[in-house]
Amino acid sequence: MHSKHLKKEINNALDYADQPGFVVEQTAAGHKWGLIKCTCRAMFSVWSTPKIPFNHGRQIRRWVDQHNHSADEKVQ
Amino acid sequence: MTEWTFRLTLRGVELTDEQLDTLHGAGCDDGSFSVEPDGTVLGFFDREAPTEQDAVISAIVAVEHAGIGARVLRVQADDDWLTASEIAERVGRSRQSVALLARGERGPGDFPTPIARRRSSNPLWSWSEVESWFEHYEPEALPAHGPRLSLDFLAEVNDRLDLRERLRHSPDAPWRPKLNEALPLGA
Repeated sequence: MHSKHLKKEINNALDYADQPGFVVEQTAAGHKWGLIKCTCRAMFSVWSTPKIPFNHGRQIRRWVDQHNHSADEKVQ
Repeated sequence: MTEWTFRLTLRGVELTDEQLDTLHGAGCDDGSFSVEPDGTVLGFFDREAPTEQDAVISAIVAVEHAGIGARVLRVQADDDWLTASEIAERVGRSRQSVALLARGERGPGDFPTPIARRRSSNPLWSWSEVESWFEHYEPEALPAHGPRLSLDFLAEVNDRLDLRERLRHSPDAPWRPKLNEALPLGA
């Protein structure tokens, strides 16, 4: 379980990111709320106050989907 | 105002906390940033602007003028990857009917193949591919047309970014004077 993000739309996206292969870490610094880390060593910065929380949630979801390195062949 | 979805590939930044704060302050709080395993930094934008030019160019300028030494190398369109249920919701069908279209058991066939989790029970499709398929099959089912960056515009922006990078790496290439004379830009 990741720590709670105060913006609901972002918290929902972090719930989505909380799946095998990813770690959600709260490491607040300035405008950064924390990080999502993938097993491939890629890191996504999560804002605490993005311009539009809904869009930031969608960007999180997109990145997590694009980092799906399951047994499946990687496309793209 | 329309919202434009695109991705910038950046060089010259490592994405330290200070750099992130600077990007946030420079108006890039409508974008997200990641560091990929090869050290490339990506910026994912959903930017509101009247035209695609305004959206993409203002993002490039904001990133490059933020004062953190970032250079934009590339612009790409980005899109959502959706499950069958999410596609169903967007086109106003049931999940089962989308599954039948995807398997070619209904409709004209040739539905795009999933882009990820292909062998799982819940694969993901590229929305832009699915959207173009529906444009032929059942255009009226599509939600108000999401704007897409035009290929010509992307090609021209990327040609310029490539050329700028090349000039930067080899400012004194021996062929340049002749090239400039024979093939002047903007002629």
